[in-house]
Amino acid sequence: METQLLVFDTREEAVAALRELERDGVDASAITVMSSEPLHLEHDGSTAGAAGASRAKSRISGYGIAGGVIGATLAILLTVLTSKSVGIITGGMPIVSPWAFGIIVFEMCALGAILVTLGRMIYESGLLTRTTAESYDDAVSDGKIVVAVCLAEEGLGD
Amino acid sequence: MSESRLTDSKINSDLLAPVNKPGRGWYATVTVSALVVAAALGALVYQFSNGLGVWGINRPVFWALDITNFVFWIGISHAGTLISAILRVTGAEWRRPVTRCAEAITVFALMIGALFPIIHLGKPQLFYWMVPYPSERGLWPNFRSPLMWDFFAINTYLLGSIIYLYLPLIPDLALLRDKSSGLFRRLYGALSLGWRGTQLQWDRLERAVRVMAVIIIPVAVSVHTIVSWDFAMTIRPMWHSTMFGPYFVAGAIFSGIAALILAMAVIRRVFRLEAYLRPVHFNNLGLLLLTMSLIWFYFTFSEYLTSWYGNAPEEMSVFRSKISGPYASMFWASVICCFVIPAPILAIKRLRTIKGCMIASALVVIGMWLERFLIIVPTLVQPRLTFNWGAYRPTWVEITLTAGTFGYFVLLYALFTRLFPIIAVWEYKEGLPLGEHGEPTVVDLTDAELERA
Amino acid sequence: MSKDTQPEKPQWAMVIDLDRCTGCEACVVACRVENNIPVVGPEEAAKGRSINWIRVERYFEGEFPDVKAKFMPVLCQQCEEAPCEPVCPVYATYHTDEGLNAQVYNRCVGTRYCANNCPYTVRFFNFFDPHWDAPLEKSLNPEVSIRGRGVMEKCTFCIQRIRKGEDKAKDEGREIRDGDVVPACVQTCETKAMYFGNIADPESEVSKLSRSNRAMRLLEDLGTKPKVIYLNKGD
Repeated sequence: METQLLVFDTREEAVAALRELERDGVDASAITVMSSEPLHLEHDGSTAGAAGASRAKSRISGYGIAGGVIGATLAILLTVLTSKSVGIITGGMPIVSPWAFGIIVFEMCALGAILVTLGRMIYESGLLTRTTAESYDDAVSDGKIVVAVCLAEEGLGD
Repeated sequence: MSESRLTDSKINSDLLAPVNKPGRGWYATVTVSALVVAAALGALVYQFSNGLGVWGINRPVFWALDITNFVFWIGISHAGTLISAILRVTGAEWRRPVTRCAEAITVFALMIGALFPIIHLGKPQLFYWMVPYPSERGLWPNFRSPLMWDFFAINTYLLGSIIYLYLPLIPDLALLRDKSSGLFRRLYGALSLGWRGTQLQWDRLERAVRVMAVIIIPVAVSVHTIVSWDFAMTIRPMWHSTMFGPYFVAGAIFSGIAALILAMAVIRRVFRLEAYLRPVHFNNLGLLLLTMSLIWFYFTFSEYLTSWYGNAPEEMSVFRSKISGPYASMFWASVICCFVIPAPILAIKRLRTIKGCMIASALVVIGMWLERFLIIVPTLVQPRLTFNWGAYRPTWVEITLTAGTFGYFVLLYALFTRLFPIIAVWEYKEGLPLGEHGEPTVVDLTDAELERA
Repeated sequence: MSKDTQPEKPQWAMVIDLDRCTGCEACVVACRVENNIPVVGPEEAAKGRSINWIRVERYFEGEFPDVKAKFMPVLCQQCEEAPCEPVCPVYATYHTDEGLNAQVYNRCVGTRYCANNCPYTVRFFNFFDPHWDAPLEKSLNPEVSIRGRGVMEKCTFCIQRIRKGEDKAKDEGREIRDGDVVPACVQTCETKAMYFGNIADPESEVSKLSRSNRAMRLLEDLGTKPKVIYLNKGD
């Protein structure tokens, strides 16, 4: 497996190269396009393949909602079970107070959603995984567009 | 507008200049603010050694400057959310150079505000008893207390804001990583989590930021509502008001935008970012500030009209102390600072310049601090049993601590601008239209077009 | 009554006859001695920090020479539905099954929220560490703890005397009755303006007096259900 890095100065050149790679039959999953700002390649019809990975279904929102539900559930358990266990007599407001606890439930619902969204985003974007230095070039930070092509055999024109 | 083209490298060097070459003004700012913070720390040590008696609080005024500062700074922290999150959610293009300024304000203002619930305690070393954990005493915290709601709300908002600041920072951290060497390269490298800028990563980042923006808006609204409920849940006259939730949120957004305008104006000047933070940004924020000033006036007027019309004796005594009594000068000063002077400045287009916005914002910050004080102290001075009416005067310790909060904010902000670009580089570039050769130009987009975007 | 009250347990209440009160403040002094209340000194008192678990409020009506002075001893009303209880984040104040509003000094972290929510302003805070010049520390009551700085305190209906009275009744194998428990203020009042006892017992003195046509409670419309009943016909 060898990774070739192709560096382009402008978006047009990069898109042209991607189209050529597609014509040569290179599989979309072998191509990674790196840039210093989002390129929104989905607007360029025939390079949809290169951007295909990013169009794969993301579950970030779904996981966020699930995180919210988990947070809310944990909050209900925390507030109700602990206040019952404290065993203190109260005058006036009862010790298990749903309206008051609802505030805590709301906040922990949001916290759960936030943390799970972050976690899922890191997971789906492949951050924190060990990426080899071969598949990155500092030129990205100079505004260039770097296309990494990972091929089983070597040999690529252009 | 000159015809200079902003190439990619020029944008990089302009926006990374504060990080790379801070300049003398930055060092002066850091030195002065660090000195102020040191003085405040000294006052704090003095307070911890001797007890809360070194403050001016007493019976019946058990809360004063401590809680004023708490509410004020939590209020300032609503800058980031409104600007960054709401403008992201509505897709307003002019937000791009402003978002990180705003998000940074939120994080630091929250950190400062969150200090006060700890340092105002009679036994600050036991603050952790408000953390829900299975304690050896067999006790959990009382979740019915609004102070516990504060604990959850502020911590959720703080964590959420840090994450919300951090996510769009990741690509810029990668940029800094690539431009640095040695220790900084490794630090930025670790913080950027191995970001490579693949289209998959961009897609997931933008998605996550959008989701975060949607979550953080209700959290922010809830935070200052809950802070207001520290007062509204009591049965004190002029505190026990159903309007406090929305009133405080509006006031928070109001003071937050003012703080943002001031921060942006300073940054623009000090870091020579005139090409990026343009009059249109100040114009739009100025219009938002005007809107919030009108909303603030509406709430304040409603609150006082209702009290006056109801004529309940226990409310009227507090009312009179603010309108014509001992607190009248502060009260009318706050009205003048929050509404009478800023509203015309911001409403008249000729006056709504960057300088005009700065003056209005500075007045609003002062006026809102006064307003927080006036919500808290006059009510406490006059308990229901009139034999117990008291008075309050701050001591040097409280004044030093208050000054220290401003110093600390400036210090943290200055350190932030030194470590990270204060304008989100990638987000700014993303908003520029592409020129002929794929290079972004700023000359194509006039202020009018930016306004329409 | 709170839902958790056992009917057999005494429900403590106090009756203060305002028509007998002369405003002499002997109760204030007795309370301070019994409960180890610190003297804060003149400077602190001028700042409004003196601690008086019971105080005599003084109101003047009219102009000289037709001035009338009204005296009202105010102490913690031990409200059945106390506004101070739900707001304490650490449960330092809670309700006992004998109808008292208890303050646990060791739990208090000093947020002072309870004091802000008390409509009777009967809660006090220790702004500094308490101090007794020698040899006054020898007069401290060993049955009452000393509160450190940063802690809220208030009238407890002399809980230490309540416990003693209850123990005595138990030792003698009988129900508690009038005269077993006498708080320091009630004990000291020269005009016998104060009464204390079990309001759940319909035959006790406080019960009978609470049914008097002169009986009133302070700030009753707030719904706090206080346990201190004032007898006041006025004039």
